[in-house]
Amino acid sequence: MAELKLEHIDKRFDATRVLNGVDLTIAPGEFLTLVGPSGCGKSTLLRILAGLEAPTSGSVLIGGEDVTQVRPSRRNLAMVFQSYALYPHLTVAENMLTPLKLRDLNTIERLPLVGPLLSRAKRAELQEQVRAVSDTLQITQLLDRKPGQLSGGQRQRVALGRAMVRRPVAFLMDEPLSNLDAALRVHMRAELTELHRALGTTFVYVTHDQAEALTMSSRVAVMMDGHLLQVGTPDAVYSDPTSLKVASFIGSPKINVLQGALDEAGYVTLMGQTLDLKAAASGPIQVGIRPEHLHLVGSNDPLMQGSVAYRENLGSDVYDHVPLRDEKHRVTVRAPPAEASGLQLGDTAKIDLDTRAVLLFDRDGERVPATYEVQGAVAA
Amino acid sequence: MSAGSASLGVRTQAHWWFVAPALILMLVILIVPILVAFGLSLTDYALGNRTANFVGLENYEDIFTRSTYERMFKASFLYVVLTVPASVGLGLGAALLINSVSRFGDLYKTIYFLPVMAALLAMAIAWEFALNPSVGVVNIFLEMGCGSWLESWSWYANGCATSFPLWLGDRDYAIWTLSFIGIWQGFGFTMVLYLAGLTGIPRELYQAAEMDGAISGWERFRLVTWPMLGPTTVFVVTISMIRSFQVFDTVEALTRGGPSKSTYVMLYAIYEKAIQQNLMGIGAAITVVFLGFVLILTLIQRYLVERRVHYT
Amino acid sequence: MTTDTLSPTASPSRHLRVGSDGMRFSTAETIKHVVLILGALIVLMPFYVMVSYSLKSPAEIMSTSLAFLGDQTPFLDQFCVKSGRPEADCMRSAIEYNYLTAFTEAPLLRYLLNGVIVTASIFLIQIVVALPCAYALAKLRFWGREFIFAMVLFCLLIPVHAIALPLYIMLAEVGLTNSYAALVIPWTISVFGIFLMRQFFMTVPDDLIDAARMDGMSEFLIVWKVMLPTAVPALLAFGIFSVVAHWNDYFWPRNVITGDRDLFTPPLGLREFRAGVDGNDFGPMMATATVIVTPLIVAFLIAQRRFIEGITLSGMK
Repeated sequence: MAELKLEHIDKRFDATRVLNGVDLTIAPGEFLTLVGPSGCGKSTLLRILAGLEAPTSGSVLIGGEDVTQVRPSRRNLAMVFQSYALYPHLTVAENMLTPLKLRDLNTIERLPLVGPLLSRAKRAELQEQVRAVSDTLQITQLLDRKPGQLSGGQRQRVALGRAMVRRPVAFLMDEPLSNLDAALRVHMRAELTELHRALGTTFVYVTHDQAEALTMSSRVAVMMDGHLLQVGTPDAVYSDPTSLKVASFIGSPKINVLQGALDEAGYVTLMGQTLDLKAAASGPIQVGIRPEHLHLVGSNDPLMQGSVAYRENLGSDVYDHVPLRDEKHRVTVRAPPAEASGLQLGDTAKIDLDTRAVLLFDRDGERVPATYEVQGAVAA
Repeated sequence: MSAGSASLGVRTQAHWWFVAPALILMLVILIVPILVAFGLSLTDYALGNRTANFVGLENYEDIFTRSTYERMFKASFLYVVLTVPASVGLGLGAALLINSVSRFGDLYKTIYFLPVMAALLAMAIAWEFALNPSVGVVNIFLEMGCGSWLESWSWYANGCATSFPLWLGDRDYAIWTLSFIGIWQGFGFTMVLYLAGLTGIPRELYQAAEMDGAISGWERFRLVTWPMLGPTTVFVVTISMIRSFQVFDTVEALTRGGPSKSTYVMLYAIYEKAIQQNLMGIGAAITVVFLGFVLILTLIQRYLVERRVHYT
Repeated sequence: MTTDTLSPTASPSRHLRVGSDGMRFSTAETIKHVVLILGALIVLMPFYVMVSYSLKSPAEIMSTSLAFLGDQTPFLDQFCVKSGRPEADCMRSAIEYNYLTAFTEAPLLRYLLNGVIVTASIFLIQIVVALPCAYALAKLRFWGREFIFAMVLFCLLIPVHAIALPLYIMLAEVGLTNSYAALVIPWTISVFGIFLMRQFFMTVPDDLIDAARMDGMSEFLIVWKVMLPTAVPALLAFGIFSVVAHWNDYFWPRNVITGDRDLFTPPLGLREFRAGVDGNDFGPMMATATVIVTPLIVAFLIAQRRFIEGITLSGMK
């Protein structure tokens, strides 16, 4: 097991800069997800880590050793591709044997007719390894089939198996679940996470689905436009984002952003009211609050009001979309079904927020730290 | 997709008008001649005769016993065996090379495809001139190599000493020369088909192979390229075989089936026996045998393609 | 350690070693180019011979000079002298002599015209026969449709050259040999064309056709006004394939035109020219060959992609 490090990775395709000075360290044994919208460079970064692409500048280090110039096959990494990339003309068993044969048998032992005779013992040993892995993944009964005869989920497992037999330093996965249907995807998320726990090997996972990132990883790296915006635990990235971009991307439904200001004392003013939130800055400020931290209230002087324009009823939760009376904002409020049922489309919703959960961002979207302080309280 | 025509309640007989010309032509031009060939092959018909006498399988007996026809089969098969693997192999090699160079790929593709476009007869005559023993460029080049290290090859030394073989006039060389011209003309075609096949190979497969440790070009070829080109190869080989079975232009223009019937290929035999010698019966019999070969080849190809169709 | 990296813009089998000057230079790449260039030289050689010798005088042809352009100093044209004209009138440059002879010794222009007539007729009739049939097979439901399509598939197996002999006999029996009809008729049915167009037509939405019907269009008009425009790319490719095959066809015309020079197609014309030529007339012969080969080559160079599509289509049965 070794630490993987990407240092100052820059990648340019002709005139476009796909990666901008990315620095990332992946600790041994962790499950790190690279997440971001399409085109942000995450797949490119993964391929640079694998060696399938060369960085324009920067280095890749595995276990402290600079491997930027080393061939992919010699980096001892294994990759699971989005399209699985299984060899269509080989059986499942042969697919899984291929990396082992290429690594452990020399050229003569690999020749079609003569080879098997010369290397019977070695081959038996390799077949044992394949069998062990296929048992773990429960695909043993598929060993004699060809990829064309398998379902999507089965192929995915075979692709995993082919990566696993190599016992690599890390598994690299490029959106492996995106070709599966929704139900299977959720199921496979759990399986992959359990696999990670069982194997203990480093997983580097790429996806555009932030829910996958949050549910599976030990750490999440958010990327946009070739920049690494934030790296942290799912919780940190969710509750403590360093920028509005991260906050908007992570979390579904999207975070609400309201325009507010900071008064001279540093308190946040919003919708004409002052909140018990203080920041060390002044001027206009962007107030971010997630739907689950907004509530429907019955008070006569709510912070926000508006009529319910659209309702998302997910069964376990209801999200009301409410354009506010000030005609500048539209917020999404999460309401437990019991509360929400009292409110119909078109009715007026009165909304208040949970001050402690507010995230402040300056004009450029950078996070501004804030403290909860009741106004007028005298510092003891 | 359904063909919903008369669904509007208006029944037309239009389709018969549409199909009739094609149907009639198919019958008259393609199917009837096969029957005519069968029929005539059992007679001793000659053009201009009022009648044709039934001779049973005599013509077929001749074909499968007389030495002329033995040489015919030999020439045809030898030509196919020489031309097809080389055309296919060179086409594949050219496609792989062109696919892998970063510049001038299109230029090479164009150049290699030119022979396919040019009238074979015209080019055959140009080749004949190039192969002329005294003033042809081929021998001029060969003679330039005389006195150099190439003479360590005894055949070459021999050629320098006496003379290089008569490419088209020597019984042992003629079929090889014709085959060479056939390869020259044909490999651009197979190359283009292979280039199309190569674009169909998913790139991620190569990346997976790289990750698995298939480092050298040869290993990538064995693991990914060749298997994925399977259907293309079956197809290319069949097309090449059928085309080379039908060789005629070079034979008629350059060797006339000789010397000593060493280039007496089937289509030329038909031409000579039937058109020149007015022996329609035997010509028809050769036609039938020829059709049989083509049919068998095509059916084998269909079968092989059917079998390999379960890829992802 | 020198490396090979897979850059995304390169195709999978490319390996580039980044040199110190950053340029894409690699020994492997150079070797590939050397091999390709050698191949190109061999491929181009007969073209070179053909064009080059069409520019040379008889004397120069007999020498072993490898120069491309002939020496154009005028020489005495023997045929001209023999036909009784004064020597002064008979000094010609090599090009003049070769190409003039080519066009006058045999009716080369006539041959070219025949080539155009024959290939155009064949292609047009092929379309007229194939398109309606393809439409009917693709879009109309009628009794016998499957049977007819099976027939089409069966006929795909029959190369026309293979049945040349019975066709010739049939034509001879009705006295049609040595005619344009003989040159054109056997090719009018292109089952490949039917097959190709049918595949194409099957992708046209039924709604389009129904809309035309509702507008009162007869089925006949539908074929030409609705289906034909959608199939233009495929038709173009097919047309190229057809024209090339028939312009260059030597076997069938050789069998079927036995006397009338006026009906010779270009390859046939070349052949006859050659037969009548004595050993020293390589020049005009090469000039004839050049003239015959040039139209298609030039067209090819102009529209390469379409040509290659057309020819590969012929394979995609």
